[in-house]
Amino acid sequence: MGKFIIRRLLQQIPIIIGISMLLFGIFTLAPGNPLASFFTDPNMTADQIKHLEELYGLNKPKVEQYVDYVKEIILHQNMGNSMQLRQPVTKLISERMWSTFYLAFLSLIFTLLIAIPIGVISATKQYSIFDYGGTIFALMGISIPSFFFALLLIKKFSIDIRLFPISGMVTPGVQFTTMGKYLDILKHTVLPLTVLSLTGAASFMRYTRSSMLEVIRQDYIRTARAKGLKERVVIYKHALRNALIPVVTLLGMQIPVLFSGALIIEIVFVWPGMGKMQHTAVLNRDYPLMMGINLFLAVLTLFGNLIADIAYGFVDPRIKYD
Amino acid sequence: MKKRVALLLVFALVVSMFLVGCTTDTPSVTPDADVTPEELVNNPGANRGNVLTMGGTNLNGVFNPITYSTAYDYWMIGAMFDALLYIKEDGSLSTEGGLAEKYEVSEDGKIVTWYLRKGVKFHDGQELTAEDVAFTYDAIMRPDYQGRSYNLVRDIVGAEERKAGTADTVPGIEILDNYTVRLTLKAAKATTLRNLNIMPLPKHYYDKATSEEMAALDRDPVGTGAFKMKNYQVEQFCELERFDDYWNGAAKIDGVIYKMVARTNELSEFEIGTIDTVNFENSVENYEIVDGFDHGILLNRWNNGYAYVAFNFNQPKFQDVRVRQALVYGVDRAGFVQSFFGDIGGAVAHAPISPVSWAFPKSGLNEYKYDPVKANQLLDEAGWIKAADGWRYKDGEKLAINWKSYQEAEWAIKFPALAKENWKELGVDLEIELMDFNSLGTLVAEPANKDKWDMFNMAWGLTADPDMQSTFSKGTFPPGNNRGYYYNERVEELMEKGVLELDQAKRKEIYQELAQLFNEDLPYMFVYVRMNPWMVNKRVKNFNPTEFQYWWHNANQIEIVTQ
Repeated sequence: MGKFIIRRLLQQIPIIIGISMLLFGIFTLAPGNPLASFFTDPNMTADQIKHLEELYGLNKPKVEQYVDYVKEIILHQNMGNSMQLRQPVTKLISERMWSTFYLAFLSLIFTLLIAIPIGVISATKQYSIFDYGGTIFALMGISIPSFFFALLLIKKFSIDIRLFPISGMVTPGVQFTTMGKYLDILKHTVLPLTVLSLTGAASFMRYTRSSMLEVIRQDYIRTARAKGLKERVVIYKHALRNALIPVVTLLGMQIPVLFSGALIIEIVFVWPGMGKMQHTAVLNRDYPLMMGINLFLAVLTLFGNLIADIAYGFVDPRIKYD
Repeated sequence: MKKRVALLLVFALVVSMFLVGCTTDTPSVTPDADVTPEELVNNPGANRGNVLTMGGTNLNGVFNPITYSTAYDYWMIGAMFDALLYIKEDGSLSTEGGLAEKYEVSEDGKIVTWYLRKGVKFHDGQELTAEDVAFTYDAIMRPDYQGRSYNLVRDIVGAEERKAGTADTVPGIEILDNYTVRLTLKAAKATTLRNLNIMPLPKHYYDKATSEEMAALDRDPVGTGAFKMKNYQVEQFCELERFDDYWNGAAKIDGVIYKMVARTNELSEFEIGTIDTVNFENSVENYEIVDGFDHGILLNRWNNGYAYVAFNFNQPKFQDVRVRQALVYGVDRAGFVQSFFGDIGGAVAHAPISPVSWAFPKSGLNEYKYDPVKANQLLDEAGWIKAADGWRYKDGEKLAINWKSYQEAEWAIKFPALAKENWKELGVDLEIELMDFNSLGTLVAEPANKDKWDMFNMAWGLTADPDMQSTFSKGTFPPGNNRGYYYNERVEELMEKGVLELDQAKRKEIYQELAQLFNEDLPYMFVYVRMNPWMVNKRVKNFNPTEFQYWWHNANQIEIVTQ
């Protein structure tokens, strides 16, 4: 197992280098310019823009720019400053990643709490009223645009009955006790969490259901039943464990999602997250920030895949690492 | 009402960051209505105490007057920093309310001397001195300066050398004594004083070796303003508190909170009272909604700027003024403005000068009212003849136009679509290409792309001074701001005269003539000037941003009526 992990970790190095080249190429070759906002300022003249290009090194050949970028990271552990927000990229990411993670992690838990039981019951009671109900719920969850659902909730719970705040993560300008602060954050969390969990649960539920349906038709399930095991043990011990293998793959892929943020939800609920920052970074062609965020997510994706591979070892008895 | 809110909520997300509105009426000014305590009973904001809460779009957190890049950051900066001179309601400059107690401009206009007020304290308790003012000018000229203000100080003797890195000192900046700074300039211009009107940074705090080190102080600014930084939470809020030692009299409110709100929900936040002020989008729907808010007052003033469609003068077809005029006659701008902004949200633009500017001519501008007959006639005269297929041709070339626009603003999508429809009737074939704003800005700024487009649309913001050389002069062809390669000898001459003339009355004549010239010669199709509406909770008094003044121009005077 240890050997496997070390081998896998070493394999990631060339992959990361490849990804960084690809990202840098795509970002800098795409149309647009990080200085475009200066172009629409009547105070800026052509020679000043040229001066800025030289300051940021944008006039150099792309390959040289890439080498400079990597050099800075390796030699000085410096991912550069955002051109728009003027702060170190690492600082900008770290001040948003935990609020992003907090929301995404809670919503993942709720998603699983809702999706797996419904998926399993829908599968074991296929074509029952419960199954149809679950399918309809899933269809609704998949088809409703999340911003529309969010606005409906805001209309109902924030404007009409004023139970939850419209937006933000904290109430500004109020001195809270520690407990009050948590309660305040919790109050702000309810609506975005509801949207994320319900829309997310829909697709997870479908995966669980179809995977479960496949498994309960297998011979070993029939064997388990034949040797007189209780139905509960058959389903929850033998079937569920196997049915969850594809779900684990999905969960591994969720790790970068936990940090990448939900753009629409962050915009509508004014949540301080990574999605919005990434979006504006792209709109402004803020190369250092775009690179920083995407490399961070790339590392998380690779890490997530590794975790999923290890987790297989636990849920799938056929897989052994040595 | 409720139905309308719901409908708006649904569509608002799709709506742009850049909605615009206009009116032909004179803007309404808030009467400072006296609020009775009874009225506050039903006021949803009344329990928030003696703090002003403003709602607005995301802040970037660059709270430095020489490197900030968005207007919203500047909303905070202005409350924390004072300028040397105060900008009055009509846009003119005054020492009253400014950090300079007086100033002198030499006869030839090339020497400006600032005499600073004594006893002005920075937020950290240190006194403002000539060193700080000199330092601020110098910081803008440093070789690694990354902001937008260099153009304002470039006329100071020695600025070029400092910027190029060939000199460490600037001979044009002299400290005469603790409170006096003398600036020597290469040229005297009418805009000089306005350009040199900086917000001084404390040297003892901001004097760092690199611009990165200075940027590290962005979120902990130290200025002389009525408010100082208390708490900034990224993408959440920015909280300022009263500065008790403010030289011009401490503020009457305890603090200011800027709460970031979503464009989609900005009016809902105002409705339920989480914010006291909102600078909302001037759409017809929004005006209807705010009409139903009993606890707020509408402040509806002009935005200082205009939206335009640029013609590319490299294209032979646009060199004929009749074609440009025909295209303007041929599209229903008034109808567009009406449907977009209603009666009080905006108006059709006719010249590159703000209608509230002293330089704007009261009469003599052609309105180019929608007139397809006239448009057809002009195109016929210009030699573009309608063929059997319905399109116009000249020497075998079809009158086809490629218009590049952007997706981020609703008007930028809808206005070209209207033009396509209107011009089709004239026999003009319009092809619209939508891209993102950044790509469009890059495309038209690049000289190599000068043949790749016929028209594009954008908007300009203006300052209180009407000088427009940077947008229409031959010297500012791309990558400068004259993106359409417009050149007119008479215009060139007048613009130069306008900047060098120091007599206000003569300048007025020059700019009125320029406005008429632009109106006739049409370097752009001028589209609209818009309103910049605010809703202000009735519990707030003396909150009064105007065309040339930000909300903070009287920050220490703002009051809140509490229960």
